[in-house]
Amino acid sequence: MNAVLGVALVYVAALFALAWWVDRRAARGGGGWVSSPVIYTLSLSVYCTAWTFYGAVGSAARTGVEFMTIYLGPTLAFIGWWWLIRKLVRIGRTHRITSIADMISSRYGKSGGLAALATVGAVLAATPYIALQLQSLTLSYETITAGGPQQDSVIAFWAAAGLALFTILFGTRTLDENERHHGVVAAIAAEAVVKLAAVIAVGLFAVFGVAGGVRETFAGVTAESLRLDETFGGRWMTLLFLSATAVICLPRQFQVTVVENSDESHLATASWMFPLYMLLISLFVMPIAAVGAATLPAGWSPDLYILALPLHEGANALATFIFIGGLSAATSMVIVSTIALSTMISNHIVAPLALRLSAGGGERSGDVQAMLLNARRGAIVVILALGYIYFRVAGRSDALASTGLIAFCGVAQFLPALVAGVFWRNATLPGAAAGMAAGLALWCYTLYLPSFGGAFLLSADTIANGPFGISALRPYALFGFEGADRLVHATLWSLGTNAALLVGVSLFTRPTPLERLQSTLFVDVFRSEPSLTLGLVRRSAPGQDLFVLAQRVLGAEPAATLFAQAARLQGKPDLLPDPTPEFISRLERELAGSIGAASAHAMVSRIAGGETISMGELVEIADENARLVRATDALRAKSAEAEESAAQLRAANERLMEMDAQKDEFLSHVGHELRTPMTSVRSFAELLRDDPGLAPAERRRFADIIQAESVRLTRLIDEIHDLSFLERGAAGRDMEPVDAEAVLARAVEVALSPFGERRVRLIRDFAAPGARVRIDPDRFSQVVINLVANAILHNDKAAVEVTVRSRAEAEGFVLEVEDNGPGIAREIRGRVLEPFYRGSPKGSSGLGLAISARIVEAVGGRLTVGATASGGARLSVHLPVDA
Amino acid sequence: MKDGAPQRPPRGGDGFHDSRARDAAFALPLFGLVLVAPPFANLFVTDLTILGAPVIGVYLFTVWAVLIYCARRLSRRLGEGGPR
Repeated sequence: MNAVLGVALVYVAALFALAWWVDRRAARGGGGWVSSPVIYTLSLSVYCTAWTFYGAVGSAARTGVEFMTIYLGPTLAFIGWWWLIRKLVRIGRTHRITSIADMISSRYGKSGGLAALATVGAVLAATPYIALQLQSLTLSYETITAGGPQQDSVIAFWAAAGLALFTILFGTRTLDENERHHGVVAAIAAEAVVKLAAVIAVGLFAVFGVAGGVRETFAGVTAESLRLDETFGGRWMTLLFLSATAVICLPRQFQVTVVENSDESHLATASWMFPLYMLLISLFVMPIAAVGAATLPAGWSPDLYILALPLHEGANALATFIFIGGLSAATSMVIVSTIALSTMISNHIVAPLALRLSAGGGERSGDVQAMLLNARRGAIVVILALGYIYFRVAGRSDALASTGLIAFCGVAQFLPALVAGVFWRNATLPGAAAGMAAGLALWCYTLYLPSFGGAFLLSADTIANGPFGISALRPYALFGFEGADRLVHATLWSLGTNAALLVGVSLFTRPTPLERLQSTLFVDVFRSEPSLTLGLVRRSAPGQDLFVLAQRVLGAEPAATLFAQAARLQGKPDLLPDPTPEFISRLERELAGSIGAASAHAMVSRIAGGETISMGELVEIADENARLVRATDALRAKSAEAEESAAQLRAANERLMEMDAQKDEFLSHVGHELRTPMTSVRSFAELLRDDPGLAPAERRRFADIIQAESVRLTRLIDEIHDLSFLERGAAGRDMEPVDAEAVLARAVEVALSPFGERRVRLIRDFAAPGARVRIDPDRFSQVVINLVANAILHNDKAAVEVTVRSRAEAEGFVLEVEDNGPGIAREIRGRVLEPFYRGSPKGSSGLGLAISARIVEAVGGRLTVGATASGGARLSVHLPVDA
Repeated sequence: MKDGAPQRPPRGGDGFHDSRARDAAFALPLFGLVLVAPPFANLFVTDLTILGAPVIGVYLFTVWAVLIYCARRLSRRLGEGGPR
């Protein structure tokens, strides 16, 4: 016995350590792996409580495959996340929603009454559910230690006390950060892994250890033993619907799915991973039930098969593991439930009462915050105490067995208000309140109270015969609706009335301006620009009062940070922002993240007075949304086209940038080139002026230098001028045809003259005699000179060899100039003809080839760059011949 | 295309594929509901077994697994594209 207790205590201590460590890391800003989609998914598995851990096998043993609805429903809800859950998460994040009651109340005009009603309903539904967890803890502990019912109270008490301690320690540390509890989430995720591993372990043990194979496992299972002929009916559909609803509406599920969500993209992962988790945890339920029924003695409750099977087979270590798995399932449910419920109680019941009572009382920094934290701690103790008392009173009655589904049906009463709230603009507060109140009342009357079996409020006689013997009011056969399953009966009555009243009353009432605003914000959450609507609520308040309020709720430091940030956004130098309507609305939203929308609105309204909402602007925004949707659709159609144009633009831009860089480079080069001759001209001119005693020969030499440098300058400027002239495409067109080879022969001589024949071996290969081209002979000479000079200048060989070749082709006259130099690398061939490109620092301004190319192109020819067989450069000019 | 294969469509994808994925995301749960609800599920009420396991169990778990697989494919398309 003590071994089991020891293991359990060590396990719980490890969970405490994990939660503490993660909280500390998160406080230092190292959230890291805790906010991963896997952790998020695992935390969702708080859905699988001890009721499913132990009860699923019991259910499978009694009613066959029906247990699967409890998991298939949530599977459908999550693979359909695009419908509803995605929207809830977005709204929850945008409006800093703290609980499901908060979301419903915020949508319906931040109604405090509706929030309180939802809170009461949630606590009613959860109390027996928590008691059920205590019961399963107790039962499993007594089973594994072979103890008896006399231990019930002790075990349940210490379990409740330990859970309260854990929840208070890790669930009520702070109020900020949108109600996220990193430590708790990490512990829940760890427990999720443990309970899944436990179920799979005992499943493998049952199938392969005890039965000896799949065929043997299901040997005694028939369609009849599974009660298949009556499985797929109204109850099956009801269970699917209720469990799909519960995975959204249970306060603890809403807490982990919406409130604790740190990243919307995690939901995309959870949409398939959470169903996968549920598939894995239910995979072995039927085998365990089948093997348990076949091997265990008759005395065992099917609810405990999962624990009894390893015990009966003497696998005590495995049994201890199962016990820890059950412990995980029970504790994680209780912890998250109490956190969610205590948040609801403190925000929606305690806070409004305290606000009303403390009006005009002492106000100091952080007092509301401290009050809320204490209220939460108190609420945690109260909720667990209620669960404990319920367990002590109801004891081991079978009433507890169906508690899970009763709670499902209870929280399903939130669904109509929730769904209408996010999809239907005209759902009103009176409609939602009437629907939810009637739904909860009918649920209490037809399911919740009768489940006590006459021990609470309704007597056994009333349950059987109706109040005062009025048989039409029998809880299980209301208005003569007989023959249906109790759960189906209650669900139809309560949810049917709920939805009918919501729709009916909404159609006959008008929403207040604040409701209109909130409904627009909620329904259009994916379309509207939240910041646009902040200024719609017109009100004003002294900035100092707002600061005091923020300090009371958020604490001194966070409030100061918030105000300083807002002041900076407004461009104000001091720390107090102007109390614009936008700022007041933003502040209210921040406060709502701590105390819920209704209380935040009430507190801000006390300072700012009643608001006015411009209905005209509201309608405009709604219209704007509709217009935006159309515009977005049109835009999407065009986006492909736009993307293509953008790519072209990008390419063009890149080229422009490159050209610009070349131009800069060129200009700086030109500057340098001009400066060198200018400098020598100036310095020799100064010498001539300042030194009258110079020898005549000296004077003559200096004047020669000045003259030569001036000539160089003129030539350079001519080149630049040529280029800009050609760039503008202004080369002459109406030229007389000339004999190409005659010009060529002359030009080659001129080109060679600066170098001298001794350094350059020139091979002439002229083979187009008489070809006539329509080009200015001077320009053509310039081209030839440039090409030949280029071939010589950039040659690195000792014996320079240049070949000039001409021939007549079908398309015209071809001139080729080849050299034995290093050639032009393939990747720069496209660029050497660009105006500002210089392949090497050697030689002239880098304009020669560019000018040549422009000249040739101006008369309809082209200049191309290639390579010779031996790797030298080959520049070819194609000119059209004049027929 | 195998899941997890490198030729998965780029994040966000083009508008056409996005809108088809959204339509599929709306249809998937309805499709799943039809498969696990009567009268469809009643087709698998039988005493036959597959590899020793009851047909109804094999059927429900197979549907379940296929739904999860489809949801996974869709979530990769829709998850990063940013909801609208």
